[in-house]
Amino acid sequence: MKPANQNEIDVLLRSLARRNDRVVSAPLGSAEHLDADELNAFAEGIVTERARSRYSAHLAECDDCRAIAVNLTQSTGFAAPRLAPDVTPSPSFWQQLSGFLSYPVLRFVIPAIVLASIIGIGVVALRQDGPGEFVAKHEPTQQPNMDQANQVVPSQSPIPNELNAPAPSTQPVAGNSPAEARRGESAGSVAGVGPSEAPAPLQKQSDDQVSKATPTFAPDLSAPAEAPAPAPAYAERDRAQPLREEAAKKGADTEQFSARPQAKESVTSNRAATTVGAAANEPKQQKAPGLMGARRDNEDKDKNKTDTSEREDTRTVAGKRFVRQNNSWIDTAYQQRATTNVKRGSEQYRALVADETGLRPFAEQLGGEVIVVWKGRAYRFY
Amino acid sequence: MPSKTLPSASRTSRRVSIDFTIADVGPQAVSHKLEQLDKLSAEGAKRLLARAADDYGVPVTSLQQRIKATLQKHLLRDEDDASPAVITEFVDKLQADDLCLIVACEQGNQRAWDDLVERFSPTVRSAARGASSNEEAAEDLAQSIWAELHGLRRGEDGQPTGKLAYYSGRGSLAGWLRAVVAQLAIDQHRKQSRLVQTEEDADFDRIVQSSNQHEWSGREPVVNPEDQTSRKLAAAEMQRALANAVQQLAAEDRLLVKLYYFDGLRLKEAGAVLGVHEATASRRLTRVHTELRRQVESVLMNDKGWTKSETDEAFSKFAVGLDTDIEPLLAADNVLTKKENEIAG
Repeated sequence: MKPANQNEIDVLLRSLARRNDRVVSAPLGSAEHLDADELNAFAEGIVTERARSRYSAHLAECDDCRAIAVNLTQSTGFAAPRLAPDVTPSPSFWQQLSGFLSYPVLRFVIPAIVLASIIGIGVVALRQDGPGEFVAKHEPTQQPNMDQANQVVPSQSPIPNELNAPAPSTQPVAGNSPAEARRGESAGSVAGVGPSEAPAPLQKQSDDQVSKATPTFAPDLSAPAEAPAPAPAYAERDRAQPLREEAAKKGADTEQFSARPQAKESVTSNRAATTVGAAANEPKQQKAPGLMGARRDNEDKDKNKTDTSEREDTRTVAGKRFVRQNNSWIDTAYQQRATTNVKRGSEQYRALVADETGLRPFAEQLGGEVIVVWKGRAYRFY
Repeated sequence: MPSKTLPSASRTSRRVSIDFTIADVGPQAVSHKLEQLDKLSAEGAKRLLARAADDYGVPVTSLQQRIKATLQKHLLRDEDDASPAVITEFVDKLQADDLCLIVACEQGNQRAWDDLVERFSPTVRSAARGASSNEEAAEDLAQSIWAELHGLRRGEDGQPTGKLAYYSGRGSLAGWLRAVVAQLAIDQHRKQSRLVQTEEDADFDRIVQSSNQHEWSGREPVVNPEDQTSRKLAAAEMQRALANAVQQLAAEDRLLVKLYYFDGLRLKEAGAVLGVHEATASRRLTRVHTELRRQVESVLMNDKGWTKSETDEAFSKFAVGLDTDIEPLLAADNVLTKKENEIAG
């Protein structure tokens, strides 16, 4: 029906309501009315469907009983548990699904899916081609360093010793996988050459790449198998280069790939960039273990912080355990279900805590929003 | 201490009978059902006593009778073919603690009564305050409730006439007490406002007289939407058709219309009474609008002989403010209908 037609019916109904007279019914104790037990069952939503229909028929005609039912619903909010404002009910899901599969939607969705598939195939193809292009593009720049690295590789074991780094810490890492072997190679080679011996332009480039590429390496470098050993080896050097580390952190935290104009063409996905970085940008690996160590430290700190916050975010009140989530204290017994929403200080709140005195400690001892499961119902205080 | 005076006959009629009166089944089937009900309620009573934190020494037989009454009232009345599994599930959802407390109070258990007063005084006071205009009236109302509950009087059958006998355990005791308070408050208010209602009746008579002076025939006006007077009558005709259409709605839809339009509740509040979310209530109301429009159009076009364009024009003109002009006619029509009902009934 058109909105205008609805407005007309709306006006008619309002007019009808204005001329309605309250029907004076029999005393409420008489048989024609719903008794207190039935009214309460209706308001608490615990009647069978047939009984609900029967009660509704009476309530539609009886102003007095309807007023009581409204009063009961509003004072205790008991009807609310039947509501599901935040949870999509399953019937509507199927309705949505059937609506989604209807022709008017599908005629747009199918071309969109086809288009997305083509784009996806293209992306996959680019990802496969990406590393080769990247290596090719950077090969001339990397070549001198690669040569140096190749020359130094056989003697990489003693070189870390000169840097007071434990040799085995690099060796096992290098032996883990081909990619990690290359990292080990690069770390050893750069260490062998030494910061002072490295060509200045290359050093600058590698620094830039480290700062920009670090986010892509972060997942691999923080892998448990290789994380522990290299960290102490390069910690001292990393301390001497706080700016690089800071830049790397900044890149890791915020910039991701957006601040990589030079390497943009090589970045088709995180994984591709990781592979490319591991294969071609070997000099930057000299920073990686240190960064990894710093990152690991940060992760440890974060973990400790999380542990602490977990302790801080868990409270036990009157034998119930609450976890803080998004500024809300949520009963650990709470599962996704509709809640009875009760505002502190409202008449409904006073009525509820008068009826269920056991709820008062939760509402009063926990600040902000509190969701507590009480006698099979979930209440939300706010 | 004021107390509510309800006719004892009506109290007796409210007492739930556990007799089966099933039409199309033989005596053996009825007997079998009764036996089954006895068995299920007895088993349910034992489980309920086991569930209760404090059973107050209530005997199984007393609880069994109460459970049978509850089953009859809340389940078997609407579903007399309920399976044993359904009955068992129903019994296991009863409020064990509250029901034991109330049955114990009925049996004169002083400890139970003390517990009842201690635990539910705040509830009764809170409900009484919500239903009264001032603190003094609220206190009187609360005292009346306790007198009602205590059941000081006994009926001719020797049974206590207190309201405790009507608590079934289906809902919470606190909610039931609130309902009892609200009912008592309305009855008391009604007694106090009888004089005011008499005055309102006089007002109705004046409206009827006034409308008769306008020589309005009332029931079957000549409808011509082109004419001003006829247009008002046409609007009145629409209102009558709409009122009839509302009466023909499904029970829950009709209740929604009453809650939203007649009681002035917001959609969220009306939805809460119906046990549905605001969005659901909104959708339901939109559907009701459509249904009512179709029904009114059907009556006007098929029964009254209006054309489609006349119907649409009447709707649109009414929507832009004709309603205020027809109020006296509608009110008079309403009074006439009431008088007819009185004569008929």
